[in-house]
Amino acid sequence: MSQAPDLLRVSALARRFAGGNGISQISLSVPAGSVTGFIGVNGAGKSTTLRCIMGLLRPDAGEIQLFGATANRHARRRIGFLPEERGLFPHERAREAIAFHGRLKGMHRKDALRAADRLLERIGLGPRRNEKLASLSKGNAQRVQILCALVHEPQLLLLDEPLSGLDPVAQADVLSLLAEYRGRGGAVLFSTHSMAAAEKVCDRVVMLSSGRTVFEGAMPDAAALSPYGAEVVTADAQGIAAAAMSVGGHAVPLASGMGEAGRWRVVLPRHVTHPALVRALAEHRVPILDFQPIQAGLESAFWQLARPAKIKAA
Amino acid sequence: MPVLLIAEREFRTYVATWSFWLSLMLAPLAIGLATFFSGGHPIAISVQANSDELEHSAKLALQETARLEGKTIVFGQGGASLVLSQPAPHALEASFSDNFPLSPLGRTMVGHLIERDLARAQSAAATIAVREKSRAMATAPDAAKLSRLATMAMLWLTLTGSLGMLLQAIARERANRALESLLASAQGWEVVAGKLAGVGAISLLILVVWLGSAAASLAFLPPQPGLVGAVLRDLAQPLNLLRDGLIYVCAFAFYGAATLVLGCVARDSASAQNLARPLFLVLVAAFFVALGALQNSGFPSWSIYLPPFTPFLLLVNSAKDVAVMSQAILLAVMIVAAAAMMLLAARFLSVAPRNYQIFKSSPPETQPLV
Repeated sequence: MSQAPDLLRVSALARRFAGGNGISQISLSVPAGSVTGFIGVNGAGKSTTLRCIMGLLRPDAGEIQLFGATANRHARRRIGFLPEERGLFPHERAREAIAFHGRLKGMHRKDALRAADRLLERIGLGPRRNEKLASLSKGNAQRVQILCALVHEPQLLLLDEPLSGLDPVAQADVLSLLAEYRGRGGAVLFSTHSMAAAEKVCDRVVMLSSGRTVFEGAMPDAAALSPYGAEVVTADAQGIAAAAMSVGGHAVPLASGMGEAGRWRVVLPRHVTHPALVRALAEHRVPILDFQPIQAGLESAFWQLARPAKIKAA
Repeated sequence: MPVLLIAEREFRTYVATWSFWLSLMLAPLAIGLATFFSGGHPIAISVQANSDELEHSAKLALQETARLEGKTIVFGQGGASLVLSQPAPHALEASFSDNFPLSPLGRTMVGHLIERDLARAQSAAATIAVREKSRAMATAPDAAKLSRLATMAMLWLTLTGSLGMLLQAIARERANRALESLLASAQGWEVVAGKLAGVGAISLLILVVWLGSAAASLAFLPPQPGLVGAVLRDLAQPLNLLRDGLIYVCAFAFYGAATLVLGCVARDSASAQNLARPLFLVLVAAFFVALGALQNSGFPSWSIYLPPFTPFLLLVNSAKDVAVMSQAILLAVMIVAAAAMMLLAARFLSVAPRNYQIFKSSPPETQPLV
């Protein structure tokens, strides 16, 4: 089976701001028909990267390729973009706002209005199409803004935190909208803090940390990178180290604990089960105050790969 | 065409407000009121006399007096009435109705004029024609000055109003956090040009209606006597209208571009208003410089070459007062300055306020951009 071509390819992107913030080494790709999660802590450089892709910021270095060629204005018209800054003109009516963005991307007025009506019906705002945006709730206004990015049927969607500020019902609605869009052959790159949402809809993931790409790949590959083992709270430091070694693993002290007892992360080989670790702890007479198996998944992989340096140091 | 789309949105936004229609009707209303209170509307008067000669003499006297009082009268039935009777050979009684439109002094004047005519008829003295040379000479320059002042004031009023609209139009995009959405689909210069064109179209529409109402008043109302009529006639000359419109377009482009620069620098509406205060001070100064120039108060002639003052000083000078080539060059300078400022505004618009960095001090130490 041939691999889908990359609609977006970013290589060694860098953009620095006064004060030292910015991105220094971002690389990622978005294949056609994929949904790629863009994950990183606040300030990791997600929004900066998306702004550079959209031409809102001029990168200091690196390369951005869109649809197989160097990014230019023409190629960017084929992208739907939801910026981090949410806001539309409050005196505009919902359908007019959506149609306006469609026309800015080259749609004819009638087509844009028709598409706006269809999308508003789709998310249940059809009866409120002629209401001014100022009269809509924050969540509904945000959904209208997502429709502004979708109205011209772009080949690629870049969404910066599309789920933030939405209630669970609205989040599910947006995710289903993205699934439909992907079903029609579109590709999505969206940044999010919601690991659950990313696990639900993404087939690929890009993780950022301190302005650098620390992981890019398929979702199962990301989950496989998560550490396997357990977090144990005990006051017996020597005992837990010995027990971990006895099953082929090792114990790492963590910052938090319970009174004099410390919290330890015991990292195990994949073939060692959690009951085997419990048996080893019992054999070494280690008093256990708490035992939490580490679940392999995107969140633990994220903590392993993309947590900020200061947390790692701690 | 993003420029036209953005302009259309601005236009629709403002046209949909009541305040726009109120401001649009301001000048037609003012012209209508001026016409009404200037006595320009014709007043029907009926005259009754024992003889045709006396009736004719009374009508001439009434017309002359009404003209002096700046009123237009027509003779016919209904309205006010003047009844003349001769109870004795050397006596004349004039009876004015209660609503007679002349002042007491005017009524006395009517009596004297009839007396003069009757006396002249009895003595068969030759009439002496008195030309109103001195009066005409005194009125004509006043009317021209007033019409130029009115045009300049209209420019100033529409400009100050429109610049406020323009400032809000650009500042609100950042304040509403809608700028990134817009810039993702249109370039900075397209947003700036669209805003300028949209608000400019509204502003020009207001000016056209204001000046057009002067022309319409001449076309659809009876000829106006006195100063008001002379001012309206001067305002409504097609060549004057064309020149005024051209100057206004250039003035709006210049001041509008300056406003956009300030609006693009501002973080929100409040800081935009604070930043724009000096610009409005310049506008006030330009108004008074133009006012002084109109009264020949000793302002240097070179002040017309300062772009902020150019449109106002051009307007208070008639087309014949400044060489055509000079006028063309002055307007071209304003347009070029406006274009440069628009590019600067577009540059500011594309940069987040916290990251203003128009000129980079040193290149970053990274690999070159491919």
